[in-house]
Amino acid sequence: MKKFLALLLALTMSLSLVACSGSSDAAQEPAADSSASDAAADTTASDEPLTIEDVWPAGTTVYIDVPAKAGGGTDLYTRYLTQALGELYEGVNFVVTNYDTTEVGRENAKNADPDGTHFLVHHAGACLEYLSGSTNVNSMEDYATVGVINLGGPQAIIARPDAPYSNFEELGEYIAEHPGEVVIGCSLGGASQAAIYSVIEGLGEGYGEMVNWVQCSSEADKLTQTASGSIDIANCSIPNAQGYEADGRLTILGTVGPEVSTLESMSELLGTELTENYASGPEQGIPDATFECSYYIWAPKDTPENVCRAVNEAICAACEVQSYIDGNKAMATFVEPVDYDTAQETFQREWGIMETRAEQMGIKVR
Amino acid sequence: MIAAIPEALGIMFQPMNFIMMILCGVIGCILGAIPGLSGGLGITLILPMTFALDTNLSFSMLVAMYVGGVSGSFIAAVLIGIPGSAASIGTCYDGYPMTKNGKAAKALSIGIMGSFIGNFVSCVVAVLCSGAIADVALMLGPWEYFALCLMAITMVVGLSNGSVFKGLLSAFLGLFLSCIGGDLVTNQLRFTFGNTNLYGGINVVVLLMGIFALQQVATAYAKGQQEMPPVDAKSLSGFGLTLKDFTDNMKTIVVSLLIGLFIGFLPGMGSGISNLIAYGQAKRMDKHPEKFGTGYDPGIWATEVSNNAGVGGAMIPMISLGIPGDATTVLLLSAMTIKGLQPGPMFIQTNPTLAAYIYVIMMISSIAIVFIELFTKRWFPLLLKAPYHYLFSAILVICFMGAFSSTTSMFNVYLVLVLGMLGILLDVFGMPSTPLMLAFILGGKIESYFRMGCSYARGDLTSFVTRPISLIFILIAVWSVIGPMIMKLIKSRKAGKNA
Amino acid sequence: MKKLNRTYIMGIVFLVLAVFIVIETGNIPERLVSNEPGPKFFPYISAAGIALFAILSMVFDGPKEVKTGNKPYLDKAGWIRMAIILAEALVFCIMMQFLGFWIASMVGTFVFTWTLKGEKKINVIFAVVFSILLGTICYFGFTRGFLIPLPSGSLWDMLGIEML
Repeated sequence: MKKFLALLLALTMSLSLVACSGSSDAAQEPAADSSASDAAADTTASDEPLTIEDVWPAGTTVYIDVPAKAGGGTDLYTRYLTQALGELYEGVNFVVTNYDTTEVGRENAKNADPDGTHFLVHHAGACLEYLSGSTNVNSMEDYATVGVINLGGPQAIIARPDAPYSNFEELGEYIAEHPGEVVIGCSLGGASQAAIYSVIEGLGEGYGEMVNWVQCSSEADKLTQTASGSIDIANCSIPNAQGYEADGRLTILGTVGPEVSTLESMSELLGTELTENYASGPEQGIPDATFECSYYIWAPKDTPENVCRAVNEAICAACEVQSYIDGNKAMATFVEPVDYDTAQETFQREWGIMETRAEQMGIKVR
Repeated sequence: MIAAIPEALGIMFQPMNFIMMILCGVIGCILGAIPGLSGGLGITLILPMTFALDTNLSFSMLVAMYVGGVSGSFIAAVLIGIPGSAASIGTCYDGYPMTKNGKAAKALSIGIMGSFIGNFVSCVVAVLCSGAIADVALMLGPWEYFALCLMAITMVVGLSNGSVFKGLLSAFLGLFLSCIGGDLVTNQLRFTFGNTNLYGGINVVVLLMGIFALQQVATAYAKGQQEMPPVDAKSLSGFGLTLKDFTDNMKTIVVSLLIGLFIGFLPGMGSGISNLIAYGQAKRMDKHPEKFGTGYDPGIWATEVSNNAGVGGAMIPMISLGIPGDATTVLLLSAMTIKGLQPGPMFIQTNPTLAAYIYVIMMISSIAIVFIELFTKRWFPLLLKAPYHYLFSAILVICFMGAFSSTTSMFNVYLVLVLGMLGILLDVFGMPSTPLMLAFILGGKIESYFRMGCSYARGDLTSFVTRPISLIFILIAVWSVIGPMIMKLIKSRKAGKNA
Repeated sequence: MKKLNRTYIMGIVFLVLAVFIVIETGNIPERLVSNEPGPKFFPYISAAGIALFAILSMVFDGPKEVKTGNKPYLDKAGWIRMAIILAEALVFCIMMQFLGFWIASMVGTFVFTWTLKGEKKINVIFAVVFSILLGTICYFGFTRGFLIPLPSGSLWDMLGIEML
């Protein structure tokens, strides 16, 4: 009897500790959280313009999901973003949640409450992954595009140090003379394959079929496998490319990135004078060798438009914070504030680009 | 970089840098000691803080947390038989039996000194030879990595006491478990049955919590063995080891150090692998292999020296090439980016003082941690004086919590339960869990390196045996399997002739 | 007919698993990358290895176990205890999902403690206090201290009740 009473006591004490609370600053399992603030609840109904203070009153916790492990590119961009937002909106807590499994992160963000406090950061490569069947989450249908956090950055196209080609033109000649020989490492079905494909196919029609596309996903693998000669071509960030080139471990053939990427703009971005071998595809005579792949901040689909617009303004403000600009520069990424309507257009355009690319690469299954 | 070491030492001994280094080292130890948590978790938590902090202070905290986390993971393995992380799985095999034999203090002392030797010496080697070692890392392609992983599995399968066939069955079961989720080459989903929580495969922390923690507690309760091991109070104070302990095990220490260093500097490998390989090799080299698993000193020396040597090893590609040696150095690299530094081959030339500083932090924090651990060693076994029911109920709750927090998924909490039942099933059938764990950890890598090796060589399988380093590893792997059989045959023929 | 011992049962179980793996592997679509064996190769290898060593174990280890005697892994009371602790773990997981980690950890710690104590007598009040403290420290330490989310309980979310 005594034991039973003790157990009952424990259970009662436990249950009585559940309290209604107006404070929503406890970190909770994001997908199950229904802590909509009063202000957010009021915003669901109308087209009335809102300010960010309406959506994120002081004491609000905003969750930003990163469908990747901590320490990677997306994670770093998100941390720069939350740092800038934290500087601008001091009473608001920003919590970054990493997911080891990309799909779980995407699903959680997709199913989160559309109350203006749950978001996902991801690049437009997610579109390609959906189109190629790698993911079941459709960025166009399952999310509302809130804003563009950066325009992505140029990537260097690297080759082994003893490669018999030193620029895109020579690469094209080599491919034509040695069909089936060149091995290109990239994330198959992902953004890096699409980026390099735009260069290869730009060298000549059908050249994409004349090379071997192999899986090599992480930046570390691309650098080491190319430097060791295990693969012939890959892509990597320009700062890494510069370091390895200076050490004599790689050859740089050129760069591929957004249309704004020119030697001049890239030199300004990086704060260093880039040599001719970092010229972009268009500068090397391949006008179609560009790749637009911005990083977006997405909200669950049913998030009201006025909420999204208000948050977009906050994102734009963050894009003008010096720490955010410096952080993106350090990662060789272009940043500019993009208003809500332009963000929708940008995403539509990049979706179209990914769709075209997927068809050209023969990986489109949806 | 060596010339910059005096300056780096000066920076390190600035009060704030030094104090935070000690504090974070201790926190890392505590996190590493708790099953389900890790030093990597600690680094993830303090990483956002480093935005606002000075570069030197940031690295004092981060690197010390890393060193502490790896150093502390043996404590739970020794005291309660549950590894703090995959890096200390091997430590359970002799650390916990030694505790059950009433020699917890000695087991802890070996763990402490082994951790220190692995950390410190690997850092010294890294400082002196990082350039040359980094060049070796760049000579290796997927063929060599595949052959190395194959060699690792074949060496460790022989570890299992009892039936070799059951050991191999366990290994292939581990290989199957590693196939669950998206494959690392084409991201093709396998055996997920539409469950998005399995898309990334089974998390190693979840597997550890199930197969080790839950299985152990459930089995002990079912067998009525809820007793804490005795504690030899007299041996708690003092160093705990004599010079003879070091000299008797010097060969094991040196070989394990080399294994940990080698595995550590290979990008993408880690201490989860090196501790088991070192254990297997130590058993192979020892005159009394039958004593392994009974609380035998070399068993703990091998695992703790090697897993901590991986720390220095992992730093080499990070500093010399700007690529991560393991999962934790990924976070350290991102810290460099946050601070506006460019990791890569030019890092040492452009930031010699900071490069030296990172190594100095590793060495000094390992010295500080060894003193702190030796001083507090007398209190660790007090854990064993806690009643079994309080200690292990807390461990169960923390394990489930760790499984959730590692993956942010309730599914994985249930998966701990399922894997715990699998662990029990393995125990019922007499199947060892070590080959399963290693095959699981290595399975994804073996598959992806094999498939990448095939595709990089355009389908030419001979590349696995025409590349010299790959060939050597494959020959060692083959010898690991057939060698004991051949030796046994030769011995029996000799015995037959003599008879 | 040979009596089935644990090794034979093990062999049969894993042979069935191997068959299951082969069937499921056949359903994996091939997304081909040039010159590599594809995503089905290693599952087939694992199935082959499981089948092979299950058979070898039955052939070589099975008879040995017959000779050495088939000591039961657990007696009946032992199996009941095993079932109890696993059932409690399952209930703990369910509580964690629906009532949240905080409540689940406090109740779960107490229940595990009560179970694991066996025949020993313990101070109930101490056990309750220990359970409350452990659960509370873990929950708030992680959610407030480290800002790492823990389950808040989907039942409370459905009822619109907000946990601390």
